[in-house]
Amino acid sequence: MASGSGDPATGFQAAEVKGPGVMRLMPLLMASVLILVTVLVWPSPAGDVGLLAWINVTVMLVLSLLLLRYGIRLLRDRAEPRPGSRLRARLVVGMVGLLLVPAMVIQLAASQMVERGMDVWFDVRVDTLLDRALNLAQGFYERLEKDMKRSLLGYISDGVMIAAVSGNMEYGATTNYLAEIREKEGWQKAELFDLNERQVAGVQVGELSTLESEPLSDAARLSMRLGRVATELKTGPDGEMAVGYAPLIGVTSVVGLLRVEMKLPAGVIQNARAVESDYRNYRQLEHNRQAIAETFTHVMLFVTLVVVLLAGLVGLLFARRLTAPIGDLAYALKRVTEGDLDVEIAELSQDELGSLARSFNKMTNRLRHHAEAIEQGQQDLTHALDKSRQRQFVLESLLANLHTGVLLVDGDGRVRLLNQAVRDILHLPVNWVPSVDLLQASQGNLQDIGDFYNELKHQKEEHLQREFDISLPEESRHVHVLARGARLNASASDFSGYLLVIDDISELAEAQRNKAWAEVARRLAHEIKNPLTPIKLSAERLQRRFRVQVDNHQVFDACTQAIIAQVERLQRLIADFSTLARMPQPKIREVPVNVLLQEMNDLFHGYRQVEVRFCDPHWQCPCDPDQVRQVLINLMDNAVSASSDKVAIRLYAVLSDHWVEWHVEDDGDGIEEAAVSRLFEAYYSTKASGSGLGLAIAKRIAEDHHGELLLVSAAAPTHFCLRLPRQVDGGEA
Amino acid sequence: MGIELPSFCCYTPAVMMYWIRFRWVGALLFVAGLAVFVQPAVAADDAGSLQILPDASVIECNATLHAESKAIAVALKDGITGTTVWHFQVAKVRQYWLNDTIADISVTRRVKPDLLSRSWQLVDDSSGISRRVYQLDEAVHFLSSLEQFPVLDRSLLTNGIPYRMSVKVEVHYGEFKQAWWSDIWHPAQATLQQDFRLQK
Repeated sequence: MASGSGDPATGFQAAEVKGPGVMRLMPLLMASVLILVTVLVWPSPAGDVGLLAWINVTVMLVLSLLLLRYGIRLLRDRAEPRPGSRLRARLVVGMVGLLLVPAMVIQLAASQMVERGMDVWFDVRVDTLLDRALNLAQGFYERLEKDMKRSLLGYISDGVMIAAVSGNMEYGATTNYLAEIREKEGWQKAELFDLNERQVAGVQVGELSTLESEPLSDAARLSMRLGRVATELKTGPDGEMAVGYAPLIGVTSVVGLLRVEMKLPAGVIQNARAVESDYRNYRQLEHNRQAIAETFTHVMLFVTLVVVLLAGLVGLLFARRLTAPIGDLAYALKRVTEGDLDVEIAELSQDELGSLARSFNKMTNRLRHHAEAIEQGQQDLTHALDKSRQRQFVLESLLANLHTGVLLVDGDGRVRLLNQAVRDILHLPVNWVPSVDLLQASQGNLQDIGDFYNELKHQKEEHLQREFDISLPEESRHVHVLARGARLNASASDFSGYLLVIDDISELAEAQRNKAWAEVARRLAHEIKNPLTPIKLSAERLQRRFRVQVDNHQVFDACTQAIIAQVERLQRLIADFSTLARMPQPKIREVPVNVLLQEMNDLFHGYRQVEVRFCDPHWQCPCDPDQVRQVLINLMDNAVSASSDKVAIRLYAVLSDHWVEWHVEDDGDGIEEAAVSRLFEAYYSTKASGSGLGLAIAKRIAEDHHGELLLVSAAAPTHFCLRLPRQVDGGEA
Repeated sequence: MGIELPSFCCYTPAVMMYWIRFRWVGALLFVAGLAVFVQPAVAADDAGSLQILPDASVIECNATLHAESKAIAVALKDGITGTTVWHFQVAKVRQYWLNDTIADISVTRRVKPDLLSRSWQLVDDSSGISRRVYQLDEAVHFLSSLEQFPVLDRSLLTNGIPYRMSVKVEVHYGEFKQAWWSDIWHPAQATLQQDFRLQK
């Protein structure tokens, strides 16, 4: 990132890379914290915290797993999230986080306050105070019991009551005695029972009708059995009462039981019971102290979880409401980026988001119009380009198929275009490509091209035409070219330069030269041929008539013979000239190839080194047999004359799809390199007695047959090939 | 308490697809179930003892809870009401299937202290009988032991067949109101069990 360089695009990109990385880990971090809290508040097995703790733990586990799932999905999902979802997640996480931190602080503070409150509630002083209060209450009860027991001890050996339970006393007297005692002791009720637990007499405060006989309790029976005074508490409809039992002991054993009831003072009892109740509640609270603290913690935690969940839901709804238009906008932007300009956003609100949506719709509308205009322009351009390409194709095809070389040079002297024909004619090197400087490239044998261009460039006229020879070193020959140049006017088009057109007129020049030579030959033959015959006849007449008259026959014979021989040689030379000048049109007919081979074999039978290889007898060749025979004789004669007796000479024929070929090979010394290029020129001969017309005539015969005469190799072996077509005028031979 | 996990071999493809699609929900429910239902199991040797006393006509037992005796004594001394709930279950032991429950009974015993008179009222909620004692040990013994408690009639059992008697003891402090959800989160203080086989 080029920080500080002011490159906003780069900075934004780096921030985007860093931001999502932390956000991706946020759910996992929150899940980890939640799991840690869950472990910390997990209910202890011995605790009695109730269902709430398990609800909290379950809710936290559910939240942890949901966060874990969301976090893992975030990490695994590498694809581009839905537009707006990331912002929504940030808002929700932010809101929950904002609420979670103070909630956790409050939770911790509340827990501490409860702990401190517990210490205050269950203070030692309170504990001691309650103990003392309870002791007071218990002392009151003990006092009552002791007083009652002391009173009852005085009646254990009471003779009246013993007599009464023994049945030795009247009921009325007994009742009166009991009434006196009850009155005296302050009891509410006094009853006498015999050993059979049958009530003997009884008195109580109030009406006697309410006096009902109750069965003796276990404590009463125990008192009677053990002979001890006993007391117990009883709760009745009128309140609590202390019940006392005194066994009546006769001479030897227990004979009865005195049962008395004393109503406890209501106000004191109420206070005592209140003390007992408070003490019990306090102890119960103390007993459940840990559970209370845990319950409080879990209640707080539950409230916190509910608040966080509600905050999350509200945050989610709020974030969804807030991010939905942004998500739509982002999605629409993505579609615009992908090229869909028909997208539109609903303009639902009048706030900033609505304004943004309207601006976006306007932007896409303008973009759509511009895109349509661009597309139309592109179509026009494409159409024009197609036309241009079509014209270019036609031009290139024309230039490619043109046998005339074309060079287009711009105003700076650089080649803009050149066709294949100019390469073939001038054998241009590889550095001749478009954009090459013409003057720099025209070096060596191509100097004349550069000079021609230079002359055209600097002359005043618009056109220029020149003929000159270009040497072709690779083929050791010259090519005669006709160069025509024209200056391209800048006013006609945007391009200004020069057009050079180059034609190979070597064949034309040669034809013209041949024609001139033929005319010379015809005139020479006409002028020379006529006197030769009288000269020869005169020389022969001189030899016949005057030989006997001369003294030196030898000299005479030599002279006359020389005249005759030279005249004959001149006649043959004139015949060749005549042949070259008036070559007849070939009379084409089907000729078996073997026939010509057989004739050659017969003709050169005397030469032992000559080998004629016959071919398939069915091979035919459309040709003029006399002219072809003349060519073959010429080739064989050249081979024989150029070779010694020990050098092999071979003649054979080859048939291909389109050609019939006669090959003549000899293993002689071969042809000198300097003579190769001029071998088929007329009047060129390496032999002292040759006219130099044999190969020229042979080549012309081959060309008249639409074939060719080739020098396949100049030496080792020297190889000539006469190639004639198998089809003439479109018909298969 | 044993937990029977679901067997996947008998699931149809549709159920499997449902399970795969809602595997997170399933995992959550499973964890929540573990959290609620996994309760601490106290070893029988430490928690108490159970002795089966087959009689000629009745199957009785002696059951004692050792684990909570001190806690019960402290609570009763402090005036807190103590309640013990004894859940008896007699089942025929089956090797490859759940045991067949034959008897399922509950006994609730409660001790209400009276701090003023230093006495404890023993109440058997099952029979409605109550009595008052003045010794703490007696009250603790009342809550933490059952002696010669008749569980079921012998005629319901078959000689020679293995049976299992299980006793789950819950101890509650303070006012106790039995409710259907009491067992859900209040764990048992002890679970005692004894296998037996009646002889001819």
